[in-house]
Amino acid sequence: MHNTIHNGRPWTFYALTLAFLLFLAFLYGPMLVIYILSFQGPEGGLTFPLRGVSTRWFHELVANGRGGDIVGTFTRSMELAAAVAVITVLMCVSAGLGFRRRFPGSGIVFYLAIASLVMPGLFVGLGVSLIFQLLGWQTDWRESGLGAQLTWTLPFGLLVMFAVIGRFNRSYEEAALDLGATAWQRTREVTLPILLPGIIGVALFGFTLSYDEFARTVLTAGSENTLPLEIWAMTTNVTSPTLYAVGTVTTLVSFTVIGTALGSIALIQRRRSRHAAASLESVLANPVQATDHGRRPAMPANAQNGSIELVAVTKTYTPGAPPAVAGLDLKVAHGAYCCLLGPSGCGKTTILRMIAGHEFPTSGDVLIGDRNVTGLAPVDRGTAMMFQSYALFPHRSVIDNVAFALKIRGISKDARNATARELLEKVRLEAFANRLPSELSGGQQQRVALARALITNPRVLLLDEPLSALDEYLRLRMRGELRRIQRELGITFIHVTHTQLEATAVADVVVVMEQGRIEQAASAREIFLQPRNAYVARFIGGQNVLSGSVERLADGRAVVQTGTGARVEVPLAGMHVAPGGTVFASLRRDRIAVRRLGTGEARRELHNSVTGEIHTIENQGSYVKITIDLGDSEEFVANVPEEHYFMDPIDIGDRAVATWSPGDVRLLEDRPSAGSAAMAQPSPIAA
Amino acid sequence: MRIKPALASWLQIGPLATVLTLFFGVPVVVVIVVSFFDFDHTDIVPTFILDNYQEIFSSETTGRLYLSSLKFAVIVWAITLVIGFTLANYLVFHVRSLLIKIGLFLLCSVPFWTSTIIRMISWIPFLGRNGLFNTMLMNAGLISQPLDFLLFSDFAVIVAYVHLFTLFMMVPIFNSMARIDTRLIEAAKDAGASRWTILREIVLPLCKSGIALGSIFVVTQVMGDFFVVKVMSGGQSASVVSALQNEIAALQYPPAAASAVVLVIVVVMMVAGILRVVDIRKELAS
Repeated sequence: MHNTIHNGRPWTFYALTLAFLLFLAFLYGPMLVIYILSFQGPEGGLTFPLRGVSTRWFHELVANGRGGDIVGTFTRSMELAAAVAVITVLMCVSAGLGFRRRFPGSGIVFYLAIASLVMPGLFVGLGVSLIFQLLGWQTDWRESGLGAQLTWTLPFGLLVMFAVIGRFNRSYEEAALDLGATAWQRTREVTLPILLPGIIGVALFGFTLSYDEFARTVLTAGSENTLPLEIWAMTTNVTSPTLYAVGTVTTLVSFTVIGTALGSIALIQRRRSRHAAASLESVLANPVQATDHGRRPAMPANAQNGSIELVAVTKTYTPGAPPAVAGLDLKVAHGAYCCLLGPSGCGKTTILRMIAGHEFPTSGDVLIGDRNVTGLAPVDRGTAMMFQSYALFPHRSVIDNVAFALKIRGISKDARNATARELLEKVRLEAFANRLPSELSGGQQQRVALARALITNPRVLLLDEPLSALDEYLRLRMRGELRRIQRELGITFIHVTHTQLEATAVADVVVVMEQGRIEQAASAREIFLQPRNAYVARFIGGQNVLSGSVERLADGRAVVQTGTGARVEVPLAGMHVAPGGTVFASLRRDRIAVRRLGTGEARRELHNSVTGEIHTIENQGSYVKITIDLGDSEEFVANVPEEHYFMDPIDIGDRAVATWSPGDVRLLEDRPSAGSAAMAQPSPIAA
Repeated sequence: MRIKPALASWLQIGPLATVLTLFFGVPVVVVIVVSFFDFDHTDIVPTFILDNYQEIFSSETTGRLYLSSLKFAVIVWAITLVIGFTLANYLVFHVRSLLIKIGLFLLCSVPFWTSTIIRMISWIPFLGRNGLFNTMLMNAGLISQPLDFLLFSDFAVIVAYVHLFTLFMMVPIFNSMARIDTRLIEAAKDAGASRWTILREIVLPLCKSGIALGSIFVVTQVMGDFFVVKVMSGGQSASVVSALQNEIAALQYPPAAASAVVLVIVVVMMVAGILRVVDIRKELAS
């Protein structure tokens, strides 16, 4: 067998490759020429090939033979560049972090930096030298050169920091705060290490830009030149091999600096992964020793009461805009598993973050364990948060991630690692203790995040869409796992999700939210059996929503005529309705029988039945989901057991009759007034 | 104790803001003020006169200088744009291996880290009358006389500019191109678009902000240059800033300040023109 693999490269690829190589030749060719010419024989001159090889021109540089002071200017330039690099790094890192918030005046500083970047260098130099002249100051090249060059390196460094920080995930910092780090500890242990490669980049920019800066320095340096100025002075004789020798030397210096910077960036990355590889070997060599399960965790237990109460909590992000959370009251008992359920933008994550202390309510109070924690920092609340993207510190091993909170509290390495191992065992990850987060699968990362959150013995665990990053199979397994762990720990879990099935599967209490309000807070079963209003019924699913006007009242039931003319009996269950008023009712989809409308069978005016055309049929395994088009905007679905359906399969486009018993209908609380037609609009159902 | 967020931010950007204000903001104001001053051969005389500006606008050299600088700016902008876009396009969409991509990108950017003046000077032995290029052509028998237009000419100035500034154009375009989701390209291919159509309809509009950023860099660099023009044209061409530098060398600060103010107004108008076409704030923010 002879197989040729066809690469499938279009001709443009080869054309562009050629163009690229030509560009490289253009870029490097002339520079190589001067490097070679700097070794020209002792007679000098521009000749090809060289008339011999000598190092005479380099000697001349050091020997100070040409009236210049290359060694002195070189020293000055290096000194200046080092100072500029250090100051640029300090100021740009600090400012880059500061610019993450919008605050009054930030725009002015930003545009000042941009203006400084695009301004002709000589203009800035002129300004600086004029100031010194007008003030009559005799300045050294150090201060004036430094000032003029910083106007060039700072904006560059700032742009680099913006690029680096733009890729930085804020939840790393929030996780650190959660785990008890002070602002300074957070910066030192988390923010700076993660940003380190970018910071080295800023230093590199600062150094090389200063080392090469000419236009801004030329008017401000005074009598003592920096290296570029000295080179500039030498350009009066552009064919001197000495000039080329300077070129060779400065290029070597530049390459050394870049090489060191890039090398250290690469080393940081490699050390992180090699550290991981080495420790993986050690794990394989010495299997984890069983730790003493009976030992008390190193952390003092927080107050045991993890009940949560929100009192009239309102959160407004932008004044004037509708609030993200509007006057919300909620009580969650200690040890409950509570799910906040709603579509995106309903305010559920805001509530979670206000309980965690990552947001503060505009008004209202947050109580945890009967203590008002409204203004407290995350660490003082006894809560722990598991972030949507997990926010595992990428530069720390699994066990260092888990033990982070204990490290912050000054617990010795052995003690904190022992506790961390116990938790890793609980989430069955003890074999992965020394890996880096990036070397774990999504499900494993999630379990590490869980272990890290639990190490502080929180009384409340806050989970922000914990399962959304997992595939379907893992999602189903992990949600059972979460429930198991919650039972085992007996602490309060607040779990934010937009998936109804997830909420009803795990939660003791499901809180259905919409537009910053709670629509219903009850057990999963109650919400399913007795949704409070049409929104809840539609969002939870499993219910059809019927609406119409009350025709008459009899035997504790209302006979309601729907928009399509069907008559539905609705048990009042003690609620009051007025004849003629519009009411909404829910009807369980799994209690509806569907049969084919016989040919020639007239549409009969039976109570508790509707007639329509089959719109879609979806086989769900144990049942078949049939959507019937009744001629109004409301979706009408019947979930028919598969054996009933396949006895007489009905097809799309057939006309069918759906019937049910009035006992499966619940009256909803919506009482739209004439003006609020919006209530009758079907809401988008979250997937 | 919680520090107010706005105060914390101000503390963080404070040092940078102070340095920029002291060494950029204040000098700009001083230059503007001095541009209205009078001078004699030893001193600047604080007063308010418009003579400096009158002289600029009545002199016909001003127009010639600006025309020359603008000519260079436009030519260099066009060349660097074509080269920068082509190279970025090659690196982002045609090089498949990430390692090779990074390697080639570094190869392009390494010369940027070495001395600008040395890089400019390096063209002299290459392009000179007895330089490498002429020697090669003569040895190959392509020409009998050395080409004179290669060095100390507008051609040499443009070659040096392109050599120095292409990277300023390429990097922002590369950045915005690298952010394009490759699935967009696949979707366009599925819809039957040719390579050229994809480039024009998908890639070009999505890296507009990178092009704008690169254009601002290149245009401001060329407009602010004085040493490339001076050396590479062999003194035959001048730029706005090289004239400005001569005035400074003659210690005529107020007229120099006035020329600088006029130049900055022109440059700012050019930048504003680019920003009117493309909003780069999105590019800078992300």
